[in-house]
Amino acid sequence: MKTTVIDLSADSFNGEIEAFLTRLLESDLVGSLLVPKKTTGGDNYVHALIKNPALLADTDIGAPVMPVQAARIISNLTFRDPGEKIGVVVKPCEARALVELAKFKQITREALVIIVVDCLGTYEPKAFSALVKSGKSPALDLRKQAVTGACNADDSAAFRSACEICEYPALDTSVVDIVVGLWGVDTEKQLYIEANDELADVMNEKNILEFNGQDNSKRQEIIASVKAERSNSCTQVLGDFSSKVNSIKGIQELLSTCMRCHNCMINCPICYCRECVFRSPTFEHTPDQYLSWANDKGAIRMPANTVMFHLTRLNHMVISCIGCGMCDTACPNDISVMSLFRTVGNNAQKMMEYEPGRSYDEPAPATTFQDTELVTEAGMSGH
Amino acid sequence: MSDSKFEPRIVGFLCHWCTYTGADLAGTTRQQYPAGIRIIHLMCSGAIDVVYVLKSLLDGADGVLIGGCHPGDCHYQTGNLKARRRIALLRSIMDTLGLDQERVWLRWISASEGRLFAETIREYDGALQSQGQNPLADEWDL
Repeated sequence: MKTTVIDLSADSFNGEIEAFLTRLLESDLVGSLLVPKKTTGGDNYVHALIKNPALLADTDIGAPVMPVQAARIISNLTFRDPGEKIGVVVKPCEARALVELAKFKQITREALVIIVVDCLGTYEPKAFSALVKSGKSPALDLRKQAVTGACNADDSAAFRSACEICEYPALDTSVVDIVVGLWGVDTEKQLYIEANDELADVMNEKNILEFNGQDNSKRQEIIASVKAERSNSCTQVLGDFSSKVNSIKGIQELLSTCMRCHNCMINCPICYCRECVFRSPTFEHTPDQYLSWANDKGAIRMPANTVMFHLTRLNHMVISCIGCGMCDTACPNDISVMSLFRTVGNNAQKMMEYEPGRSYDEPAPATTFQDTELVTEAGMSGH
Repeated sequence: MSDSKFEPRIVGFLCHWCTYTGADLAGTTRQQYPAGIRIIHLMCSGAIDVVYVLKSLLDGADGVLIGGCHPGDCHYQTGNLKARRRIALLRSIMDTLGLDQERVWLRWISASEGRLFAETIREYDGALQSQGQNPLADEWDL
Protein backbone atom coordinates (compact mmCIF):
# COMPACT_ATOMS: atom_id res chain seq x y z
CA MET A 1 0.00 0.00 0.00
CA LYS A 2 1.29 3.48 -0.93
CA THR A 3 -0.03 6.79 0.30
CA THR A 4 -0.03 10.38 -0.84
CA VAL A 5 -1.17 13.73 0.48
CA ILE A 6 -2.02 16.62 -1.81
CA ASP A 7 -2.12 20.11 -0.34
CA LEU A 8 -5.29 21.95 -1.16
CA SER A 9 -6.00 25.61 -1.65
CA ALA A 10 -9.14 26.90 0.08
CA ASP A 11 -12.25 24.78 -0.47
CA SER A 12 -10.80 22.89 -3.42
CA PHE A 13 -11.45 19.32 -2.18
CA ASN A 14 -14.07 18.46 -4.79
CA GLY A 15 -12.11 20.28 -7.50
CA GLU A 16 -8.94 18.32 -6.75
CA ILE A 17 -10.86 15.02 -6.71
CA GLU A 18 -12.49 15.95 -10.00
CA ALA A 19 -9.06 16.66 -11.49
CA PHE A 20 -7.78 13.29 -10.25
CA LEU A 21 -10.82 11.45 -11.65
CA THR A 22 -10.41 13.33 -14.96
CA ARG A 23 -6.77 12.21 -15.24
CA LEU A 24 -7.87 8.67 -14.42
CA LEU A 25 -10.65 8.72 -17.04
CA GLU A 26 -8.35 10.19 -19.68
CA SER A 27 -5.73 7.51 -19.02
CA ASP A 28 -6.15 3.94 -20.22
CA LEU A 29 -6.61 2.66 -16.67
CA VAL A 30 -10.38 2.96 -16.83
CA GLY A 31 -12.80 3.43 -19.73
CA SER A 32 -15.59 4.86 -17.60
CA LEU A 33 -16.29 5.97 -14.05
CA LEU A 34 -19.24 5.36 -11.76
CA VAL A 35 -19.42 8.35 -9.41
CA PRO A 36 -22.10 9.92 -7.16
CA LYS A 37 -23.36 12.99 -9.01
CA LYS A 38 -25.83 15.66 -8.02
CA THR A 39 -29.23 15.07 -9.62
CA THR A 40 -30.81 17.71 -11.83
CA GLY A 41 -33.24 18.30 -8.96
CA GLY A 42 -30.24 19.18 -6.80
CA ASP A 43 -31.37 17.48 -3.59
CA ASN A 44 -29.90 14.00 -4.14
CA TYR A 45 -26.78 12.24 -5.35
CA VAL A 46 -27.05 9.17 -7.56
CA HIS A 47 -24.34 7.12 -9.20
CA ALA A 48 -23.70 8.26 -12.76
CA LEU A 49 -21.82 6.13 -15.27
CA ILE A 50 -19.55 8.73 -16.80
CA LYS A 51 -17.70 8.56 -20.10
CA ASN A 52 -17.20 12.27 -20.77
CA PRO A 53 -14.84 13.91 -18.23
CA ALA A 54 -16.76 17.19 -18.56
CA LEU A 55 -19.66 15.47 -16.81
CA LEU A 56 -17.56 14.89 -13.68
CA ALA A 57 -18.81 18.35 -12.69
CA ASP A 58 -21.21 18.27 -9.73
CA THR A 59 -19.94 14.91 -8.53
CA ASP A 60 -19.22 14.45 -4.84
CA ILE A 61 -17.47 11.24 -3.88
CA GLY A 62 -18.41 11.62 -0.22
CA ALA A 63 -22.05 12.66 -0.50
CA PRO A 64 -23.61 11.32 2.73
CA VAL A 65 -26.57 9.66 1.07
CA MET A 66 -27.06 6.20 -0.44
CA PRO A 67 -30.34 6.04 -2.37
CA VAL A 68 -29.28 2.76 -3.99
CA GLN A 69 -26.60 0.29 -2.89
CA ALA A 70 -23.97 0.65 -5.62
CA ALA A 71 -23.10 -3.06 -5.50
CA ARG A 72 -26.43 -3.75 -7.22
CA ILE A 73 -25.62 -1.30 -10.01
CA ILE A 74 -22.11 -2.68 -10.37
CA SER A 75 -23.53 -6.18 -10.67
CA ASN A 76 -25.68 -4.96 -13.58
CA LEU A 77 -22.58 -3.46 -15.18
CA THR A 78 -20.21 -6.38 -14.71
CA PHE A 79 -22.18 -9.64 -14.33
CA ARG A 80 -20.31 -10.42 -17.49
CA ASP A 81 -17.06 -8.79 -18.56
CA PRO A 82 -18.03 -5.34 -19.86
CA GLY A 83 -14.98 -5.24 -22.13
CA GLU A 84 -13.38 -2.26 -20.42
CA LYS A 85 -12.33 -1.29 -16.92
CA ILE A 86 -14.86 0.66 -14.91
CA GLY A 87 -13.68 2.79 -12.01
CA VAL A 88 -16.32 2.73 -9.29
CA VAL A 89 -16.46 5.20 -6.41
CA VAL A 90 -18.18 3.49 -3.49
CA LYS A 91 -18.68 3.52 0.26
CA PRO A 92 -17.14 0.82 2.48
CA CYS A 93 -20.43 -1.12 2.78
CA GLU A 94 -20.82 -1.04 -0.99
CA ALA A 95 -17.26 -2.35 -1.43
CA ARG A 96 -17.89 -5.12 1.11
CA ALA A 97 -21.04 -6.12 -0.76
CA LEU A 98 -18.91 -6.29 -3.93
CA VAL A 99 -16.58 -8.77 -2.21
CA GLU A 100 -19.57 -11.00 -1.43
CA LEU A 101 -21.05 -10.64 -4.93
CA ALA A 102 -17.69 -11.61 -6.44
CA LYS A 103 -17.96 -14.93 -4.57
CA PHE A 104 -21.38 -15.53 -6.09
CA LYS A 105 -20.03 -14.62 -9.55
CA GLN A 106 -22.34 -11.63 -9.80
CA ILE A 107 -19.56 -9.16 -10.62
CA THR A 108 -16.35 -9.33 -12.63
CA ARG A 109 -13.73 -8.10 -10.19
CA GLU A 110 -11.05 -7.86 -12.90
CA ALA A 111 -13.20 -5.33 -14.74
CA LEU A 112 -13.26 -2.97 -11.77
CA VAL A 113 -11.01 -0.37 -10.24
CA ILE A 114 -12.65 0.01 -6.84
CA ILE A 115 -12.21 3.42 -5.26
CA VAL A 116 -13.56 3.45 -1.72
CA VAL A 117 -14.19 6.69 0.13
CA ASP A 118 -14.22 6.80 3.95
CA CYS A 119 -17.84 7.01 5.06
CA LEU A 120 -18.67 9.61 7.68
CA GLY A 121 -22.29 8.46 7.93
CA THR A 122 -25.25 8.75 5.58
CA TYR A 123 -28.72 10.29 5.84
CA GLU A 124 -31.95 8.74 4.60
CA PRO A 125 -32.59 10.15 1.12
CA LYS A 126 -35.56 12.23 2.29
CA ALA A 127 -33.59 13.63 5.25
CA PHE A 128 -30.69 14.49 2.94
CA SER A 129 -33.06 16.17 0.52
CA ALA A 130 -34.60 18.21 3.34
CA LEU A 131 -31.15 19.35 4.53
CA VAL A 132 -30.19 20.50 1.04
CA LYS A 133 -33.51 22.27 0.57
CA SER A 134 -33.01 24.11 3.85
CA GLY A 135 -29.80 25.54 2.39
CA LYS A 136 -27.30 23.31 4.19
CA SER A 137 -24.28 21.52 2.73
CA PRO A 138 -24.41 18.13 4.46
CA ALA A 139 -21.37 16.72 2.68
CA LEU A 140 -19.12 19.68 3.44
CA ASP A 141 -20.35 19.98 7.04
CA LEU A 142 -19.40 16.37 7.77
CA ARG A 143 -16.08 16.52 5.92
CA LYS A 144 -14.98 19.43 8.09
CA GLN A 145 -15.52 17.33 11.21
CA ALA A 146 -13.66 14.28 9.93
CA VAL A 147 -10.28 15.48 11.14
CA THR A 148 -11.19 14.91 14.78
CA GLY A 149 -13.21 11.75 14.20
CA ALA A 150 -16.28 13.27 15.86
CA CYS A 151 -18.67 13.40 12.91
CA ASN A 152 -22.11 14.34 14.12
CA ALA A 153 -25.29 14.40 12.10
CA ASP A 154 -26.95 17.75 11.52
CA ASP A 155 -29.07 18.91 14.49
CA SER A 156 -32.26 18.57 12.47
CA ALA A 157 -31.59 15.04 11.16
CA ALA A 158 -30.13 11.69 12.15
CA PHE A 159 -27.84 9.27 10.36
CA ARG A 160 -29.34 6.06 9.04
CA SER A 161 -29.59 3.55 11.88
CA ALA A 162 -27.22 1.16 10.08
CA CYS A 163 -24.53 3.88 9.92
CA GLU A 164 -24.77 4.59 13.64
CA ILE A 165 -23.66 1.04 14.43
CA CYS A 166 -21.38 0.52 11.41
CA GLU A 167 -18.03 -0.93 12.40
CA TYR A 168 -16.53 -0.40 8.94
CA PRO A 169 -16.22 3.39 8.50
CA ALA A 170 -13.07 2.89 6.39
CA LEU A 171 -11.42 0.07 4.44
CA ASP A 172 -7.81 -0.55 3.49
CA THR A 173 -6.47 -1.62 0.12
CA SER A 174 -6.69 -5.35 0.85
CA VAL A 175 -10.05 -5.65 -0.96
CA VAL A 176 -10.13 -2.39 -2.94
CA ASP A 177 -7.70 -0.60 -5.25
CA ILE A 178 -7.80 3.02 -4.11
CA VAL A 179 -8.84 4.59 -0.80
CA VAL A 180 -9.76 8.24 -0.40
CA GLY A 181 -9.28 8.94 3.29
CA LEU A 182 -11.39 11.45 5.22
CA TRP A 183 -11.12 10.27 8.84
CA GLY A 184 -8.28 12.08 10.57
CA VAL A 185 -7.63 14.25 7.52
CA ASP A 186 -7.92 18.03 7.52
CA THR A 187 -9.93 18.06 4.30
CA GLU A 188 -9.89 21.83 4.07
CA LYS A 189 -6.15 21.66 3.58
CA GLN A 190 -5.34 18.17 2.41
CA LEU A 191 -6.44 15.31 0.22
CA TYR A 192 -5.31 11.85 1.36
CA ILE A 193 -5.20 8.88 -1.02
CA GLU A 194 -3.94 5.29 -0.70
CA ALA A 195 -3.52 2.75 -3.47
CA ASN A 196 -2.25 -0.77 -3.70
CA ASP A 197 1.43 -0.93 -4.68
CA GLU A 198 0.97 -2.03 -8.25
CA LEU A 199 -1.67 0.56 -9.11
CA ALA A 200 0.23 3.30 -7.25
CA ASP A 201 3.29 2.64 -9.40
CA VAL A 202 1.24 2.77 -12.59
CA MET A 203 -0.46 6.00 -11.51
CA ASN A 204 2.96 7.49 -10.70
CA GLU A 205 4.24 6.51 -14.11
CA LYS A 206 1.25 7.96 -15.93
CA ASN A 207 1.33 11.19 -13.91
CA ILE A 208 -2.13 10.60 -12.52
CA LEU A 209 -1.00 10.85 -8.92
CA GLU A 210 2.38 11.08 -7.29
CA PHE A 211 2.63 8.81 -4.26
CA ASN A 212 4.86 10.45 -1.70
CA GLY A 213 4.41 7.94 1.14
CA GLN A 214 2.87 10.10 3.83
CA ASP A 215 2.60 8.82 7.37
CA ASN A 216 -0.98 7.94 8.26
CA SER A 217 -0.67 6.93 11.91
CA LYS A 218 -2.97 9.70 13.16
CA ARG A 219 -5.63 8.63 10.68
CA GLN A 220 -5.29 5.02 11.83
CA GLU A 221 -5.74 6.09 15.47
CA ILE A 222 -8.90 8.00 14.66
CA ILE A 223 -10.35 5.14 12.64
CA ALA A 224 -9.62 2.77 15.52
CA SER A 225 -11.41 5.02 17.99
CA VAL A 226 -14.42 5.46 15.68
CA LYS A 227 -14.60 1.69 15.27
CA ALA A 228 -14.43 1.16 19.04
CA GLU A 229 -17.20 3.68 19.62
CA ARG A 230 -19.39 2.13 16.92
CA SER A 231 -18.74 -1.31 18.29
CA ASN A 232 -20.08 -0.18 21.68
CA SER A 233 -23.20 1.34 20.10
CA CYS A 234 -23.66 -1.83 18.09
CA THR A 235 -23.53 -4.05 21.18
CA GLN A 236 -26.05 -1.81 22.90
CA VAL A 237 -28.50 -1.41 20.00
CA LEU A 238 -28.47 -5.08 19.04
CA GLY A 239 -28.61 -6.10 22.72
CA ASP A 240 -31.79 -4.03 23.13
CA PHE A 241 -33.16 -5.54 19.95
CA SER A 242 -32.53 -9.14 20.98
CA SER A 243 -34.09 -8.58 24.39
CA LYS A 244 -37.31 -7.68 22.53
CA VAL A 245 -37.16 -10.10 19.62
CA ASN A 246 -36.47 -13.38 21.43
CA SER A 247 -39.66 -15.35 20.93
CA ILE A 248 -42.33 -15.89 18.32
CA LYS A 249 -44.29 -13.08 19.96
CA GLY A 250 -41.31 -10.75 19.55
CA ILE A 251 -41.02 -11.72 15.88
CA GLN A 252 -44.74 -11.12 15.37
CA GLU A 253 -44.49 -7.70 17.00
CA LEU A 254 -41.49 -6.80 14.84
CA LEU A 255 -43.27 -7.83 11.64
CA SER A 256 -46.69 -6.52 12.62
CA THR A 257 -46.70 -3.81 9.95
CA CYS A 258 -44.98 -5.82 7.21
CA MET A 259 -46.93 -5.47 3.97
CA ARG A 260 -44.92 -8.07 2.05
CA CYS A 261 -43.81 -5.56 -0.58
CA HIS A 262 -40.42 -7.33 -0.81
CA ASN A 263 -38.68 -3.94 -0.84
CA CYS A 264 -36.11 -5.17 1.69
CA MET A 265 -35.23 -8.01 -0.67
CA ILE A 266 -35.29 -5.88 -3.81
CA ASN A 267 -32.90 -3.31 -2.33
CA CYS A 268 -30.60 -5.79 -0.61
CA PRO A 269 -27.26 -5.97 -2.45
CA ILE A 270 -26.74 -9.57 -1.32
CA CYS A 271 -30.15 -10.87 -2.48
CA TYR A 272 -28.95 -11.38 -6.02
CA CYS A 273 -31.23 -14.19 -7.22
CA ARG A 274 -32.89 -13.33 -10.53
CA GLU A 275 -35.98 -15.10 -9.33
CA CYS A 276 -36.53 -15.21 -5.59
CA VAL A 277 -38.25 -18.38 -4.39
CA PHE A 278 -40.97 -16.13 -2.96
CA ARG A 279 -41.71 -14.85 -6.45
CA SER A 280 -41.52 -18.26 -8.07
CA PRO A 281 -44.23 -20.86 -8.76
CA THR A 282 -43.32 -22.47 -5.39
CA PHE A 283 -45.33 -19.69 -3.76
CA GLU A 284 -48.12 -19.47 -6.32
CA HIS A 285 -50.76 -21.29 -4.33
CA THR A 286 -54.18 -22.35 -5.43
CA PRO A 287 -57.28 -21.07 -3.60
CA ASP A 288 -57.95 -24.45 -2.04
CA GLN A 289 -54.45 -24.49 -0.51
CA TYR A 290 -55.07 -21.19 1.31
CA LEU A 291 -58.46 -22.43 2.46
CA SER A 292 -56.96 -25.68 3.67
CA TRP A 293 -54.31 -23.83 5.75
CA ALA A 294 -56.99 -21.54 7.15
CA ASN A 295 -59.01 -24.60 8.01
CA ASP A 296 -56.07 -26.23 9.82
CA LYS A 297 -55.36 -23.24 12.04
CA GLY A 298 -58.77 -21.62 12.09
CA ALA A 299 -57.28 -18.53 10.40
CA ILE A 300 -54.10 -17.47 8.59
CA ARG A 301 -52.56 -14.07 8.02
CA MET A 302 -52.88 -12.87 4.44
CA PRO A 303 -50.85 -12.44 2.38
CA ALA A 304 -49.60 -15.77 3.70
CA ASN A 305 -46.05 -16.64 4.77
CA THR A 306 -44.91 -13.26 6.12
CA VAL A 307 -42.77 -14.64 8.95
CA MET A 308 -41.55 -17.35 6.62
CA PHE A 309 -40.44 -14.77 4.04
CA HIS A 310 -38.15 -13.08 6.56
CA LEU A 311 -36.92 -16.32 8.14
CA THR A 312 -36.13 -17.78 4.72
CA ARG A 313 -34.32 -14.65 3.62
CA LEU A 314 -32.27 -14.87 6.83
CA ASN A 315 -31.35 -18.46 6.02
CA HIS A 316 -30.47 -17.69 2.44
CA MET A 317 -28.27 -14.62 2.87
CA VAL A 318 -27.64 -13.54 6.46
CA ILE A 319 -24.15 -15.07 6.42
CA SER A 320 -23.18 -12.57 3.72
CA CYS A 321 -25.08 -9.61 5.23
CA ILE A 322 -22.72 -6.65 5.35
CA GLY A 323 -25.11 -4.50 7.39
CA CYS A 324 -25.58 -1.64 4.91
CA GLY A 325 -29.14 -1.15 6.16
CA MET A 326 -30.71 -0.69 2.73
CA CYS A 327 -33.52 -2.95 4.01
CA ASP A 328 -34.33 -0.30 6.63
CA THR A 329 -34.18 2.50 4.07
CA ALA A 330 -36.44 0.50 1.77
CA CYS A 331 -39.07 -0.47 4.34
CA PRO A 332 -42.13 1.75 3.93
CA ASN A 333 -43.29 0.92 7.45
CA ASP A 334 -40.04 1.44 9.37
CA ILE A 335 -39.53 -2.18 10.40
CA SER A 336 -36.01 -2.59 11.74
CA VAL A 337 -35.03 -5.30 9.28
CA MET A 338 -31.37 -4.31 9.59
CA SER A 339 -31.33 -4.99 13.35
CA LEU A 340 -32.90 -8.39 12.71
CA PHE A 341 -30.29 -9.29 10.12
CA ARG A 342 -27.34 -7.92 12.09
CA THR A 343 -28.42 -9.64 15.32
CA VAL A 344 -28.94 -13.00 13.66
CA GLY A 345 -25.95 -12.44 11.35
CA ASN A 346 -23.52 -11.75 14.19
CA ASN A 347 -24.22 -15.14 15.77
CA ALA A 348 -24.29 -17.04 12.49
CA GLN A 349 -21.11 -15.41 11.19
CA LYS A 350 -19.34 -16.13 14.46
CA MET A 351 -20.38 -19.77 14.26
CA MET A 352 -19.04 -20.07 10.70
CA GLU A 353 -15.93 -18.00 11.56
CA TYR A 354 -16.84 -15.84 8.61
CA GLU A 355 -16.71 -12.10 8.12
CA PRO A 356 -18.51 -10.91 5.00
CA GLY A 357 -16.50 -8.51 2.89
CA ARG A 358 -13.18 -9.42 4.48
CA SER A 359 -11.51 -11.31 1.66
CA TYR A 360 -12.15 -12.53 -1.86
CA ASP A 361 -10.39 -15.78 -1.00
CA GLU A 362 -12.71 -16.95 1.78
CA PRO A 363 -15.45 -19.02 0.13
CA ALA A 364 -19.07 -18.26 1.02
CA PRO A 365 -19.91 -20.67 3.88
CA ALA A 366 -22.85 -22.33 2.09
CA THR A 367 -20.60 -23.33 -0.82
CA THR A 368 -18.08 -25.24 1.23
CA PHE A 369 -17.67 -27.52 4.26
CA GLN A 370 -15.11 -29.31 6.37
CA ASP A 371 -15.16 -33.04 7.03
CA THR A 372 -15.60 -32.69 10.76
CA GLU A 373 -17.29 -29.54 11.99
CA LEU A 374 -20.47 -28.06 13.47
CA VAL A 375 -21.49 -31.35 15.08
CA THR A 376 -22.80 -29.61 18.22
CA GLU A 377 -24.28 -26.71 16.24
CA ALA A 378 -26.19 -29.10 13.98
CA GLY A 379 -27.45 -30.84 17.14
CA MET A 380 -25.65 -34.11 16.49
CA SER A 381 -23.38 -34.53 19.51
CA GLY A 382 -23.59 -38.02 20.90
CA HIS A 383 -25.08 -39.46 17.72
CA MET B 1 -55.97 -32.58 23.44
CA SER B 2 -54.73 -33.97 26.75
CA ASP B 3 -51.00 -34.53 27.26
CA SER B 4 -51.34 -38.30 27.50
CA LYS B 5 -52.75 -38.41 23.97
CA PHE B 6 -50.24 -36.00 22.42
CA GLU B 7 -48.75 -37.70 19.38
CA PRO B 8 -45.98 -35.56 17.94
CA ARG B 9 -46.14 -34.97 14.21
CA ILE B 10 -42.72 -35.24 12.62
CA VAL B 11 -41.92 -34.30 9.04
CA GLY B 12 -39.03 -36.41 7.77
CA PHE B 13 -36.92 -35.28 4.82
CA LEU B 14 -35.01 -38.45 4.00
CA CYS B 15 -32.34 -39.02 1.39
CA HIS B 16 -33.02 -41.67 -1.23
CA TRP B 17 -29.78 -43.64 -0.88
CA CYS B 18 -29.51 -44.05 2.88
CA THR B 19 -32.14 -42.92 5.35
CA TYR B 20 -35.17 -43.48 3.10
CA THR B 21 -33.94 -46.97 2.33
CA GLY B 22 -33.19 -47.44 6.03
CA ALA B 23 -36.80 -46.48 6.80
CA ASP B 24 -37.93 -49.03 4.23
CA LEU B 25 -35.77 -51.67 5.92
CA ALA B 26 -37.30 -50.74 9.29
CA GLY B 27 -40.68 -51.54 7.77
CA THR B 28 -39.73 -54.80 6.05
CA THR B 29 -37.99 -56.03 9.21
CA ARG B 30 -41.08 -55.12 11.26
CA GLN B 31 -39.37 -52.62 13.56
CA GLN B 32 -41.90 -50.76 15.70
CA TYR B 33 -41.84 -46.96 15.87
CA PRO B 34 -44.39 -44.17 16.40
CA ALA B 35 -46.62 -43.51 13.41
CA GLY B 36 -46.44 -39.72 13.69
CA ILE B 37 -43.70 -39.32 11.08
CA ARG B 38 -44.62 -38.16 7.57
CA ILE B 39 -41.82 -38.95 5.17
CA ILE B 40 -40.80 -36.81 2.21
CA HIS B 41 -38.40 -38.45 -0.21
CA LEU B 42 -35.38 -36.43 -1.33
CA MET B 43 -32.57 -37.59 -3.58
CA CYS B 44 -29.99 -36.19 -1.11
CA SER B 45 -30.05 -34.46 2.28
CA GLY B 46 -27.99 -31.78 0.51
CA ALA B 47 -31.03 -31.06 -1.66
CA ILE B 48 -32.97 -29.65 1.29
CA ASP B 49 -33.94 -26.00 1.08
CA VAL B 50 -34.69 -24.68 4.56
CA VAL B 51 -37.79 -23.00 3.17
CA TYR B 52 -39.53 -26.40 3.41
CA VAL B 53 -38.29 -27.02 6.94
CA LEU B 54 -39.58 -23.60 7.98
CA LYS B 55 -42.90 -24.17 6.23
CA SER B 56 -43.34 -27.42 8.19
CA LEU B 57 -42.58 -25.76 11.52
CA LEU B 58 -44.65 -22.63 10.92
CA ASP B 59 -47.59 -24.79 9.83
CA GLY B 60 -47.36 -26.64 13.14
CA ALA B 61 -45.22 -29.75 12.68
CA ASP B 62 -43.82 -30.67 16.10
CA GLY B 63 -40.45 -31.71 14.71
CA VAL B 64 -38.52 -31.97 11.46
CA LEU B 65 -36.04 -34.78 10.89
CA ILE B 66 -33.52 -34.52 8.09
CA GLY B 67 -31.92 -37.88 7.39
CA GLY B 68 -28.81 -38.38 5.29
CA CYS B 69 -25.92 -40.77 4.67
CA HIS B 70 -23.03 -41.06 7.11
CA PRO B 71 -20.11 -38.74 6.24
CA GLY B 72 -18.09 -40.37 3.49
CA ASP B 73 -21.06 -42.41 2.24
CA CYS B 74 -22.97 -39.68 0.37
CA HIS B 75 -24.00 -40.91 -3.07
CA TYR B 76 -23.16 -37.43 -4.36
CA GLN B 77 -19.87 -37.30 -2.40
CA THR B 78 -20.57 -34.40 -0.01
CA GLY B 79 -24.25 -33.41 -0.12
CA ASN B 80 -24.70 -34.48 3.50
CA LEU B 81 -21.85 -32.23 4.69
CA LYS B 82 -23.44 -29.27 2.91
CA ALA B 83 -26.73 -30.16 4.60
CA ARG B 84 -24.95 -30.11 7.97
CA ARG B 85 -23.84 -26.50 7.36
CA ARG B 86 -27.34 -25.49 6.31
CA ILE B 87 -28.97 -27.12 9.33
CA ALA B 88 -26.38 -25.64 11.71
CA LEU B 89 -27.19 -22.21 10.25
CA LEU B 90 -30.94 -22.77 10.54
CA ARG B 91 -30.61 -23.87 14.16
CA SER B 92 -28.40 -20.87 14.96
CA ILE B 93 -31.00 -18.51 13.47
CA MET B 94 -33.81 -20.22 15.39
CA ASP B 95 -31.82 -20.05 18.60
CA THR B 96 -31.06 -16.34 18.21
CA LEU B 97 -34.74 -15.61 17.71
CA GLY B 98 -35.91 -17.73 20.64
CA LEU B 99 -37.44 -20.49 18.52
CA ASP B 100 -36.87 -24.03 19.76
CA GLN B 101 -33.94 -25.38 17.74
CA GLU B 102 -34.53 -28.90 19.06
CA ARG B 103 -37.50 -29.10 16.73
CA VAL B 104 -34.99 -29.64 13.92
CA TRP B 105 -32.88 -32.80 13.95
CA LEU B 106 -30.28 -33.95 11.48
CA ARG B 107 -29.27 -37.62 11.65
CA TRP B 108 -27.08 -39.95 9.62
CA ILE B 109 -28.81 -43.29 9.09
CA SER B 110 -27.58 -45.74 6.45
CA ALA B 111 -29.62 -48.05 4.21
CA SER B 112 -28.71 -51.01 6.43
CA GLU B 113 -29.68 -49.29 9.68
CA GLY B 114 -33.40 -50.03 9.84
CA ARG B 115 -33.10 -50.62 13.55
CA LEU B 116 -31.36 -47.25 14.06
CA PHE B 117 -34.09 -45.53 12.05
CA ALA B 118 -36.78 -46.97 14.34
CA GLU B 119 -34.74 -46.10 17.43
CA THR B 120 -34.25 -42.53 16.18
CA ILE B 121 -37.96 -42.02 15.61
CA ARG B 122 -38.72 -43.41 19.07
CA GLU B 123 -36.08 -41.13 20.58
CA TYR B 124 -37.34 -38.04 18.72
CA ASP B 125 -40.94 -38.87 19.57
CA GLY B 126 -39.98 -39.14 23.24
CA ALA B 127 -38.08 -35.84 23.15
CA LEU B 128 -41.01 -34.09 21.48
CA GLN B 129 -43.44 -35.60 24.00
CA SER B 130 -41.55 -33.79 26.75
CA GLN B 131 -41.21 -30.58 24.71
CA GLY B 132 -44.95 -30.59 24.07
CA GLN B 133 -46.90 -29.40 21.08
CA ASN B 134 -45.29 -26.88 18.71
CA PRO B 135 -46.68 -23.54 19.92
CA LEU B 136 -46.63 -22.25 16.33
CA ALA B 137 -49.48 -24.66 15.51
CA ASP B 138 -51.90 -22.22 17.13
CA GLU B 139 -50.48 -19.03 15.63
CA TRP B 140 -52.48 -17.51 12.77
CA ASP B 141 -50.33 -14.36 12.49
CA LEU B 142 -47.23 -15.77 10.79
